[in-house]
Formats: sequence, structure tokens, C-alpha cells
Amino acid sequence: MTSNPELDKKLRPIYDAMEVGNYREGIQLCNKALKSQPDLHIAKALKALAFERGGKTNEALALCEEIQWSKPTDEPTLRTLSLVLRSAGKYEPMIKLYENAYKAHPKNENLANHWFMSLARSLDFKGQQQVALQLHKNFKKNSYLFWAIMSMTLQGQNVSANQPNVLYQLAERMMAKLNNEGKVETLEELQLYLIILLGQQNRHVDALALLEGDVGVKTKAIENVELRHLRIQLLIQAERWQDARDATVQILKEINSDDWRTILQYFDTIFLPVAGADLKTSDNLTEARAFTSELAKNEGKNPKRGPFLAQIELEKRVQESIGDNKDTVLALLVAYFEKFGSKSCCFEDLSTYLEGLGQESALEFCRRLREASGEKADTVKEITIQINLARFERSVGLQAKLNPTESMALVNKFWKLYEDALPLGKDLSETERQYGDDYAIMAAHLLIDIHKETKSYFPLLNATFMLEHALNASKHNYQIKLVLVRIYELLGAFSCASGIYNTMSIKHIQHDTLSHFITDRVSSYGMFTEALSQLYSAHEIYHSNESETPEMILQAYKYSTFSKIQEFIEFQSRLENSLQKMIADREMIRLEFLREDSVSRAVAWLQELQIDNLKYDEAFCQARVDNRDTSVMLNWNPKGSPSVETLTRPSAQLGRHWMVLFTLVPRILKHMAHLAAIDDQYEKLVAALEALLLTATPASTATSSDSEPTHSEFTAEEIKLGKIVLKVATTFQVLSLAIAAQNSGSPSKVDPAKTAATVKEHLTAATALLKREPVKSTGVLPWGTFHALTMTVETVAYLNVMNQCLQNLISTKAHKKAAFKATNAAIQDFMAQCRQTLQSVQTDVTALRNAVKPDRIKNGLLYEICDGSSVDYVRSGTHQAEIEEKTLKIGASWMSSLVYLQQEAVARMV
Amino acid sequence: MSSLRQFKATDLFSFNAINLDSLTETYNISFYLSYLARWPDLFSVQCTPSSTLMAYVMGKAEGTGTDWHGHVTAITVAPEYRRLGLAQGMMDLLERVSEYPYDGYFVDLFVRCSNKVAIEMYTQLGYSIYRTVKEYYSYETENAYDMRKPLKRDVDRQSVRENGESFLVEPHEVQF
Repeated sequence: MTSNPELDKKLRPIYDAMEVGNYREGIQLCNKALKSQPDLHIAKALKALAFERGGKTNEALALCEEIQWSKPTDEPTLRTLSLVLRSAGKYEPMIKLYENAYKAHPKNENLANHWFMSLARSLDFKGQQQVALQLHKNFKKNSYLFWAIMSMTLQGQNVSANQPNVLYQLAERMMAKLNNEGKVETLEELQLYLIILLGQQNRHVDALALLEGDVGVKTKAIENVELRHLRIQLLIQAERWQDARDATVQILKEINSDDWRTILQYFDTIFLPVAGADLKTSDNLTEARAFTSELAKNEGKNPKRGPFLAQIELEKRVQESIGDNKDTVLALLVAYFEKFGSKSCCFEDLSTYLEGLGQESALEFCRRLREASGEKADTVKEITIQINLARFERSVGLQAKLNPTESMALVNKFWKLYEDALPLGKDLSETERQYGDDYAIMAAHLLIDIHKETKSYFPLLNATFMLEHALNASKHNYQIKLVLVRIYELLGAFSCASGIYNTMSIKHIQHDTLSHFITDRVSSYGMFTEALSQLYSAHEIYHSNESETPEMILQAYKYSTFSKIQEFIEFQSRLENSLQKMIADREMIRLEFLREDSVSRAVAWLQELQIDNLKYDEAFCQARVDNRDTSVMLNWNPKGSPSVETLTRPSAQLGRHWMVLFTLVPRILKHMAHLAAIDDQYEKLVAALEALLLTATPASTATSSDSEPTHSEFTAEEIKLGKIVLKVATTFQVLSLAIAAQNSGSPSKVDPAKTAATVKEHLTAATALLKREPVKSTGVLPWGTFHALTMTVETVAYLNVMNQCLQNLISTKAHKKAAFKATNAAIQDFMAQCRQTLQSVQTDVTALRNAVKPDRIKNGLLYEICDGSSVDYVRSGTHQAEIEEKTLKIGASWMSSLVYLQQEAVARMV
Repeated sequence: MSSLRQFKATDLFSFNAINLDSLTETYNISFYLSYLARWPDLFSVQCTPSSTLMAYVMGKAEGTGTDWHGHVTAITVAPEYRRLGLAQGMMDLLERVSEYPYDGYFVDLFVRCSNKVAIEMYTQLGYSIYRTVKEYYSYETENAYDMRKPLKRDVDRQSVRENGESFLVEPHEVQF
């Protein structure tokens, strides 16, 4: 609201309309107000806001620009404009507007603050610094000086370490002056000072002096958990060993005996001073042994794990530096298991130490545990112990040694243990996991092993039945869900996978880290609409980052939380430059292209396609940040062998090369869609595609021993697609140049017959690449089947457009069309080949559709699953109805994919 | 064997083992960052030696006069890491920070009346029921207990009372 009651009265109905979401009425009321008072900025700004809220961003922005020209200086107008521009992701214009307003009202501190904030939104550190200094000059508050210092620090942070950093030096001088005047008073101001000192080389002694000096004492810096940690780190760097050790001992004894990073610092104070000396005779070692065992003794009835792991860590270090200590470490590991074996995290606690001991000791460890614990699994504790033991046995490779029959026996054993554990959890609330859930997951891991070894898909089908069954008793166990999603994907059952994925409430920031589980190569399942909706909803996080994170950076300035500003900026940048964001973006482009099922619409779509974001240069690729979470899935596989997450990928993990391929393809197509002349740009695109394919190896055949640098992010089908596009792109180039030469009548013009021959040669090569093997139905339609089919449809969809462009080149660009008759015929031939390819897809899909009809599934696949199965879960007889239901569901998922795929294929037979 | 440290904005990229659990809600960016921007020392996390996030607590300081206190907004432990005393370590830190630098009179938290496990844990940590908030959770009819633990500044122990569960208040009365 404004400070003018009369104006307020006029605007009230507009605000009211907006508040209830009635933007149309809001616009009408604004128009009315503007009619009587055309220069009423606030009414115009509110109208822009109504446009923006009503989804008409372009109209809103046009209005904003109009208002900008008239340089408004009243706060309500500026605030409203800022709202509109911010939600459109435009930050720059507000800087000028606030600057202008402040200069018109130099006593208005609020406007000056807005000016600073508008710069902070755009990360304009230099501008911030200047404005903050002006703010301080005019309004005399210290906080503005700290803003200025922070801004300088941000400018200085990218200066390389071995260069003198003028900005840091300047910031430091200002800080020192403030400190001398006693004006550094808060923890956050102190932290800013420390950031500046530690951002320069070899300043740890000064930082330490600051922490231990007046300001450190005044702010009780070492009460803060981060500064306490930092102080010890600095003491270690300064080689003040005793002080550092005393500080860690005090924390571990009095505050938190479980604090691992302090335990590690304690060990630094023990080992670093005697590095190079004989550890055996060192007093430090004796002291450390006494101290850690004292810590362990002090633990009472509910012991913390820290002190006991500290003992293991200590003896491990002794083993590493003087050897001959494996037995001690092993004994400690066994003792630790006796104490904490009934805690779920025991496996994780010990596994790195176990790896360090080598295979022989690891096996001995397992043998001893088995000897001590036997097979007893009658209580919740015993079950956890048994599960931990089984994890260790898997991780040391005991399960990898089994043949498929032995593995299957173990699957059955685990399943029985899972079922035996259920009665103990009958009173657990719905949100909790059953005690034996990990048995079910481990059974699934074994079935995945068997699948990998035998190539049979039946183990995977069995795994889905067992995991789905386990979900009945643990509705929310996300570990079961994650592995289930992946197995369904391997089985080509997209609806089943997305059904499970959608129950996991994955949202906000998790879209960036976890959506790859469902969106990687999601177009392969043929269900383009569903694929797009998954991608669109995941993409919202990047818009949130644009609109929310800058505001949070401003909050940090507002509350003078200097320790968080760099962190927030890093967070913003990691999301902004997320690799997953770009991968998803390219997949969306593929799908949006495929949504246009007529050639003319596809051409129009390409012509409209914005290329600002379709970058592929090396610098751009290298600046992508991989935020994908691949470690959250449980994994007990031996170190050095692929994790379960890796093993259950239906295809190679997507990365920068893949991103480049699906950047080049639409860009080349776009150039062709415009029938644009061959220029540098186009030649670069084609050359980049050629170079990319030259080093590409299909993931399945990649070997690490290849001497040539290769990358294997692609499937064989993707490489084929790239090669075909390359052939036709080259054809376009040849033809375009020939037409241009012909038109100009230049002496360099090519003989039309020769052009036709070259075109034919390229298109024949493309035809050869297009040849496909018919798909045979083998009962299961795995991911690869769908991928091959959709990739063919996608390839032809591109070719339809490219062929049309080739023909249009002749019909619209060539002066003498008759000269290119033979070329045209070659194109026609190629088009016939494309049609034929689609026809063969269509034939295959029809056959597959017949094979996955419910009655065929029942009498075929289901029969095969059950007949003579060696899986107890399947044989038991009590699960038949469930197995039938799940099998039919998988069949139905295949059917939907096939139905959609067929529609897509038919629509492209031109 | 857990490192207890302040939560960083970039930890949001790796908190999935905690947040995939159905009882832990994932909020938008602003929610987490606004806490970090204002009370960075009341938002802490427990990590494994290999830097996996196991648990976190987020809190704020609020209230006026003798109501000035530390408030636990959310505390959560990933399923694999429960019953290890991680919550206790985090609460302990939050209480110390509420004492210094915030100088609060007490720490409080809300818990569903049906969540016996949590109530028992908080009781062991020194919290007692101060009042019952009627239908605290939106869209649900369940009541919540407001549990409090006095800090040194609360010399008269005003944040503790007998039979707190029988003091019923409406949700709007617990806003600060």
C-alpha cells in the first residue's frame, strides 16, 4: 500500500481482486484507473503483476519495460515491478530502477537497501561493494561496512591462490580497523574476518591469534562447534601439538565422546609430531592407547560407538605405519561386532577397516563371527546380527563364489529368514520397516547376480514378486522401492517402475539428485506423454532455484549471516549448473520433438526451437556439476566390483557425451529446417558430431584396456542414430553447396550426376545403418527391446524431417530443378527405405502385442515362471494369486508401451 | 563415531538417506535456507566417517520476555542409524546453543501425543509436558504435547509444571 489514503482507496479494489486470484478483474480495474490517470505507475505495475500472475509473462514484461522508461521512484511501484520481474527471472532492470529512485531520494535508506539487494540478487559483487560503502557513508551503520567487506571477499574469492589478492588485502585492512575500534562484535563478523584471513596463503597463525584474542574471547568463539573445530585445525597447522591435543581431549571427555572429526584431530596430534620417527617406541602411541581405552571404559550402559572405533582406527594406523598389527585390529573388529553387531550400522562402521586388512583376515573375521553367532535368529537383536553377518559375507566375496544353484539356495534361505522375522514385527507401526527387510533385499541382490550371470530374466521377475510382497508389510521402505524401480526398468515395465517411484514422495531438491532413477532414457519406453510429465515435474526445482535462492542470499545479508553467503551461492550454482538439469533438458527436447507427429509440425517446431541453451562446447560441458545421488541404494557388494546401483542400470549412465549428442542432433536438424546456407556454424556442428562418434564405443562392448581414448555413455542404437544423422547431415551439406554453385553458374559447379551419386552414396550408407534385426519375443520384453524399437521410430522421425528438408532444398532453392532430378530420385528411394523400416517395426510390435495379451501371459510367461521353479516363494502355493497379479501388471505395462509405440510408428509412415 | 557439525546448504544434495524416509517431509529450498540464514548454529547434522548424512536437527530462537527460547522445528534420523544416541547428541548441542549465544529460558518442541517412543526419549533427555495443543497438526485431529526443558536462565523453572498435559490450548495460542 502507499502512504496516500486517497490513492489507497482507489487501489484497494485492485489489491482485493488480485488477492483472490481474479486477475482479469484486476486488469480491468487497472485500466479504469489508468484511464483517469494515465501516468499512475502503480496501476500500471499492478496490471503487469496481474498479467504475470495470470500466466501472460510477455505482456507483463512489455508493461514493465514501458514503466521503466518513465523512471518511477515510489516504493509501491518499485516493489510491484520487482515482484513481476523476479518471477520472470529478470533481475537486471531492478538495479537501474532502484539506483535511480535512490538518487532521487538520497535520504531514503530503505530505497538504498533495495538497491543493494537488487545487486545481491544478480551476484554483482562489485556493485554491491560500492553501494554498501555509500550506504555506510550516508547512514553510518557498521553493518553496511560488513556488507562492503563481504562483497569484496566475494570478488576476491576467485583470484588464484598464488597471486596477490588485492581485494582480500583491502578487506582485511578494513576488518582490522574495525577490530581495533572494537567494532567486530558478533560471531558472524568474526567468521567473516576468518574467511578473509584463511582465504590468503599462510595466514593460519593470524587466524589463530584472532580466535584466541579479545574478539574470540568476547564472542566465546570456541563455544561454537565450527569455530572450536577450526581452532584445533589451526593449532595443528601451527604445530602447537599439546594445545591441540588438550583441546580434543577436553571435547571427547566432557562434551561428546562420539565426535569423530575430533577423534581424527586427536590422532593428528598423536601421529603428525612423530611422522618419520620410530612409532614403536613413541610415548605418543602409548598415550593414545591409554586415552582411547580410557574413553572406551567411560562408556556406560548405552555406549557410544566413537571410542571403540577410535581404538580400531588407532591400531589400523599402527598397522599401516609399522605393520605386524593385523591380529590386534582383527581382534578389535570382532570385539566391536560383539558389542554393536545388533546395530544396523555395524556393517558400515567396520567395512572399511575390514577391507584394509586384506582378504585372508576378512575371511577369518567372517569365520569367527559365524562361529560366535551361529544361525540363531530368534530375537530382533539376533536378526540384526545375522543380517550384518550376511552383509559381511557378501562383501568379502563369499556369495560371489556361488554357482547359480547355490545362489538360489541362499535366496531361499534368506526368504525363509525374512518370513521367520515377520511375527516379531507384527506390532510395528505402518511407518516402520520390518526387522528382516534386508533379507528380502539381499535375496534380490542375489537374484540380480544370477540374472547377470545367466542372462535369464526369470530371476528378476522372481525378485519383483518377493520385493512387492515385502512391501505389503513395510509400506514405506524406500530401499525396497529403489531396487524395485530399477528391476522393473530392466524388465522394460515402465508403468510398474513409475508406479513405485511415484509413491516415494520425491520432491523439491530431490528432483535434482534422484529423478535420474526414473528419467534416464525415459523416452525408450515409448510412452512419451508420461515420460514428459515426469521430466517436467522434476524440472520445477530449477525454477525454484532461480526464484527462491537469491531471496535466501538476501536473507543472509539481512541477518548478517556472513558464514552462509558463499555457501548459498555455491548451492545456487550447483543447481544452476547441474548435469542432471541438462540431461533432462535434452531428453525433453527429444520428447517434445517426437510429440509433433507430422513432418510439417516437426519442421515448424524446429524452426521455433531456441538454441541459447543448446550449448555443447567443452567449457560448458566441463562446468556441469554432477549432483546425482548414486550412493543411497544399499550395496554390500565386494569392493572393486560394481555396486548394485551400477548393476541395475538398464543402460550406461548418462553424462556429458550423451548430452552433446542430443544437443547436436536437434541443432543440425534446426539448421536444416530453416534450409539455411552452409556456414561455419553448421560445419562445426557436423564436425563435432563426427568427432563424438569417432571415439564412441557402445557401453556393452567397452573394455578398459582400449588404448584409444573412448567413452561409452551410448547404447549401440544411439551410436547408430548419430551415424545416420551424420550421413544425412553431410548429404544436406553436399546438396546445398551443389545447388548454390549451380545457381551462381560458377565454374566450380558440380556435374549434377556426380552430386546425385554422392547423395546416393551417403543415403545408401544411412540405409545400411537403418537395417534392423526383427525382434523375437522371448517371453520377457526387457528394456533393450523397447529401446531398440523407439530408437528406430525416433531415427525415422528425424529422417522424415531431414528428407523433407533435402527435397525442399531442391524445390525452393535450385533455379534449375531439372538438374537435380536424379538426386531427388535418390532421396525418394531413401524415403521408401525409411517407410519400410517403420513397417518392419510395426510388424514386430503387432506380433509382440499378441504375445503380451493377458491370456497369453497367463498361459505362457506365468506358466514358465511357476513350472518347476526353484524359488521357494514361487513354489509355496500361497502366493499364486499375487504372482499372477504382478505378472499381469508387468504384461499390461509392456502392452501400454507397445500400443503407444505402434501409434508413434504408424504416425510417421510418410 | 559421528561427526556433529553445522548443516550446510549443499548438504541438501546428500540428505536422501534421511529424507526418503516417509516420516521426514522434504520442503522447498526456502524452508531450509531461511533457517540457515537466520539460525545457522541451530541447524546441525550428524555424519558418518565417510561423510554420509545420518541425522539432522533444525531449530530457531523465538518468543518474547521470559518466553524467549530455543525451538526444535524438526529432528530426524535415517532408519539405518536409529537407537545410536544421535538424536541425543544433536539435542544436547541445540540446548547448549540455545543457552549461548541465544540466552534462552528453555528449549521446546512439539510431539504427537501418540508418539510414545519420542515422548519417552524426550523425557529421558529432561523434557516434560508443559501443555497440550489441540489439533496442532493441520488436516488432522491429533493433539500435540508442547514439551519443554528449562535452561540455566530459567532460575525459577517457570517452563516446567506438574500435569502439563491437562493444560489445553488452541493452536493459535502457541504462535510466537
